[in-house]
Amino acid sequence: MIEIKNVTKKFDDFVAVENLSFNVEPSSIYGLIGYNGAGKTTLIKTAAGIYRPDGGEVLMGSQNTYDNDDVRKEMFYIPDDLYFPMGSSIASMARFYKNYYPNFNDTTFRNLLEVFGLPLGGKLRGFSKGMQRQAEIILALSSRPKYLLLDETFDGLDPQKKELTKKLFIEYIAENEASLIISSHNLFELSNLCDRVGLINGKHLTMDCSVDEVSRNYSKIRLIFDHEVSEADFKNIKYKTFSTDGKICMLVFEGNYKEQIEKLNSLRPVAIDEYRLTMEEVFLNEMEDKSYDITKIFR
Amino acid sequence: MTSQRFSADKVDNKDLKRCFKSVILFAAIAFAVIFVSSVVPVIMQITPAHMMLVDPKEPIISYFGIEFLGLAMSPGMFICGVLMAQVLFGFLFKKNSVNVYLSFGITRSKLFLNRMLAALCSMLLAVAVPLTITLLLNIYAFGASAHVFQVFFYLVTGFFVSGAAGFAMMSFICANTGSRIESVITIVLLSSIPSRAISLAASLKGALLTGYYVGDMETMLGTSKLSFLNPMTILIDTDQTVHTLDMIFEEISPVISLSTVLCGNKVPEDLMLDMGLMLPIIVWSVLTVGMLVLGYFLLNKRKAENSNSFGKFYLSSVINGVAVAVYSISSVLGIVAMVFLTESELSRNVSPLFIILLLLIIPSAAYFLAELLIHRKMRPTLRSLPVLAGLLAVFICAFITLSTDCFGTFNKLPELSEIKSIQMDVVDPQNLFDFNAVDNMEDTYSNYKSTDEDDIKLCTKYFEKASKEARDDSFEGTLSFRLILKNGKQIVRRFNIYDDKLIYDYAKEVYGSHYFDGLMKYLMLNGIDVSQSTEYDENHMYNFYENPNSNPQGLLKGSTYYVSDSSLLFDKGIVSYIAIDTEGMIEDNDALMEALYKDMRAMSFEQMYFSNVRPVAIISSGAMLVPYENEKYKAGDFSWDGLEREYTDEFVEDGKPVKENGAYAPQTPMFFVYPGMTNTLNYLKQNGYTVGETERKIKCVYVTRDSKSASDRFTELSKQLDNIDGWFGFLEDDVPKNFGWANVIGVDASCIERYNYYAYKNEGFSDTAINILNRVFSDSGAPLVLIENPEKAKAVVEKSVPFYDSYNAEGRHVYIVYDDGAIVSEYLPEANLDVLSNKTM
Repeated sequence: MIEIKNVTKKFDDFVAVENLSFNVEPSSIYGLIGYNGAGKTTLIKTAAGIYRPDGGEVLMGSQNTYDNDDVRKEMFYIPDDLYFPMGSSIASMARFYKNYYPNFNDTTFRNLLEVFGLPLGGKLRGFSKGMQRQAEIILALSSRPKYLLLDETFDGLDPQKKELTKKLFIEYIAENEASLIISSHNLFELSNLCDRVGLINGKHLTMDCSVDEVSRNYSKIRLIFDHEVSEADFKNIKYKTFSTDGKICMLVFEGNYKEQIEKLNSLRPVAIDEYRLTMEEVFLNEMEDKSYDITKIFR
Repeated sequence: MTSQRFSADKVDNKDLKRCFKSVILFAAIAFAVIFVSSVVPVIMQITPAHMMLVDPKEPIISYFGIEFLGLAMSPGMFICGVLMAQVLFGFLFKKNSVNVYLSFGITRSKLFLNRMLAALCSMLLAVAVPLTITLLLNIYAFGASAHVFQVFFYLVTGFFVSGAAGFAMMSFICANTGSRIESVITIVLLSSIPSRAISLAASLKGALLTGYYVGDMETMLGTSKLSFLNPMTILIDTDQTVHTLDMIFEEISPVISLSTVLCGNKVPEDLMLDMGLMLPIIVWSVLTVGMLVLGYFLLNKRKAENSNSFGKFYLSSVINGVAVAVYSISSVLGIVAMVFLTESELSRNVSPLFIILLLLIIPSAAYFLAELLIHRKMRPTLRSLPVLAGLLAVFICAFITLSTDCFGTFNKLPELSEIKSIQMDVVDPQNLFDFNAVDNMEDTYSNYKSTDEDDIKLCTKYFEKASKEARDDSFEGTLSFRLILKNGKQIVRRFNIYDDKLIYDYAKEVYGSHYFDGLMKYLMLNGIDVSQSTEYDENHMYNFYENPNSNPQGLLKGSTYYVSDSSLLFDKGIVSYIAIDTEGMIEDNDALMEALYKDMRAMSFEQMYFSNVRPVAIISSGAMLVPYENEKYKAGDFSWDGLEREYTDEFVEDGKPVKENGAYAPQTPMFFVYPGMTNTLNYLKQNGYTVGETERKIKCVYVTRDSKSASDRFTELSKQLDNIDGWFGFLEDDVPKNFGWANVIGVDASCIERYNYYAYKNEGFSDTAINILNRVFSDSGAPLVLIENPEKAKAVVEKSVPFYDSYNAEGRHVYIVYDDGAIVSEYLPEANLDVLSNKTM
């Protein structure tokens, strides 16, 4: 299990993340989402023991990760900015990682190489960004870690390889009871991968729940009227967002809308249809405090 | 847990293996260089063909080669260590590599220790293996001895510590810098701080010294002994500078070349592990351990987020700031110290307060700017200021320590029992015996030293007095002393003197000393004959006055002398273009010098230098630099003999190329022959020279309107001339107007040169000296007064004296024109001025 406990990280006077806590159970994948610069990479690097936290701690298997060789030999971190020394190939990198990961499995390595179809001796610096990512994923999974920390790992992968990678991660996690944290600002990438998601917004974790809970926390309904309606007609109703197109209105509620069904019925809609919010919509709803009125920008 | 531990150890071992692989190339290069410079030459030397040449009476004790690349070996190993650290810790400078290495299952401590172990072990192998082979070859060829093992130990530890020091310094810096460029800058600055600090100490000492040293500042000020702090010279003897490597290797180093041994030099075994040789190795061993420990802790504390940055690490930024501050103040103080050491006008005006202000302002400004440049932000720059405060405190402490000489290291006057011999630069008004023994560092020119007890007492007495001289505006001259101590050290000091009485007392007392007598004998009786000297010596002799440092021994004996009538003494100098009479060239210098020596030793100080008696003859070599292209000028009586060197000078004047021919005559000493110098006069008469016997009648007498001499007037006018040549400007600077006592009756050759120059530069000048003289005084607004009354003229002549003290004198200059055209320059002292107002004449 990975435990992020009240982690705070500062860069000089700038607070990147503050008092952040969540857990990642074995055999589960945690998606870390947030806008650019929210602190996802900082949190992952702190979790990987690269950064020393200014407050709190990160535990893996109940052991602190910072400068702990026992824990980190079972942890693999795939950074956003990959490291391939000059002239290195997948083969040479495999030899390199074998030095530091005692569980490195050659069979897994060969199998994965075959699945991704990458050349063993090709120079990695000559590879495309996507191919370099694939190489790193192969190396990571071949190292057979108990803890995987992935930073924007799908960035650059084509849709087919993205799907393949997701399946591999899910299979690996289930097979090895591993814990995985993956960060992304692209919710679609995480939608069918993660068990739980956390949203970092304004240095803090503003949401930490399972994917199912995400949908449960919000409800979205469509109301159809036989007459024109405006937002003023809904003044007695507590909603999160409202939009209307004359006779049709869309409302998003925090929690279950059914608590207010009587008030909605009193408006005499012709029909009420219930929808499930996508993670993208949840993300945007959560982030709406930070949204800008772009219509003002070019005035 | 056991299996976890096992796998962690496995990771450590593999990391260590990787580290060895990374540095093997550098170790191989070091191995190859040491092998080639040690094993190969030894094998070549011990082959039977070579061994046949060895004299069995002079057995070879050892031979380790190494002289090939010897000097470069220590810095080479240091650089090897630096490169190893760069390769092993280079991952710290990039974010992507830091991400990988610091997320591996290996702690930072182990990362550091593995890299340290790999570098040090490979370095030790690279050094020890070839030298062990050399050791075995030595034992096989020359037999085992304590010396052989000592040499082996010295070389192995020296080379290894050099490399380890480079590695330790660079690894400490890598742990504490954000980028490769920052690490390179930091190591360059940090490794040069010791030498800069030594230089700073020398500059500070030089600037604060009462009086000044001559020669290589660091050596003379004793700071060269700090050279063991320089990481580039770990394997070089601490008391020696780099250029004396030959001497080190041949005389005191255990690395004895075979050729030296074959020449019969025994190896002084007791010197082998002398502290002087081992000190840098011991010091740098300690420093290396210190830096490794520091590097270890800094790597553990290192913030990974500061990778790929510049100026984010406090320690490295302040190291760079301190280095810049030390560089800046060392350079500025070096210049200030040089000004002090070269006895310029400025040196008399710079006060210790100025130095302390420099010590505060220059490093502060340099440090602040460096920090601002490194951080590019004000806040971190301000955060680094406490270090500056500490640095300034160190500077101030150094200033107080050195200025008060609280350790007695450089202003201390040694006990008499500590002094072996002395040298003094004799101040004599005619500059006959001031041959710059103290200034001259080369043995050839500084042979004369005295071990006489009285001389030593005299030297220390005036050393002490001179060192207490208070600085004021009236600079009178300098006194120089060299104290050679029994322990081999030397104290060399030159003091500016502002009290003319001190110089007078000194000159008078030295005149009666053993030292002066010995010096006279050395210069007049024992010197080399110029005819046997090399062209190099002659050139230096001819330039004696222009370059006092080149004064060869035997100058007085070695010159070519001419006898001339004293009537040609003009305004304290000889009008040499008129004076030199080639008929008067003296053939036998030895006899002349002996006669002069006897006469001069019989004279008192006052008789010799302050005589009011007109000399009957002058023995001189002539002195001037005369352009002679102009025919009218050439029409004078002078002619050129073997002394001169003709020259052609080409320059541009008024946009046109000008070719000027001239003759370069030497400036050599001048002896005044007084009536009482019977030995000299007898010698001259016996050799057919008629001196003091010419009967002349006074034609007329001119008197100046004020105390300004012809020389002063020439000076005033020459400043008004256009197109003043460089050499003339040099003369202007060379003779300070208030030079005072030291020049009382010295030869003011510049007067003559000005005379000639003025005549040369003025179209339409007269070819008679008195007309030129009249014109000079008229042009400068104070025409000479012609005394027409013969009785009055006679009285003036009677009341005049041949020599005078120009300093603060209010007398008048008198120019007596004789019927044969000769002019005699005399001086009417202030006390005798009433003869001019005697209206009865």
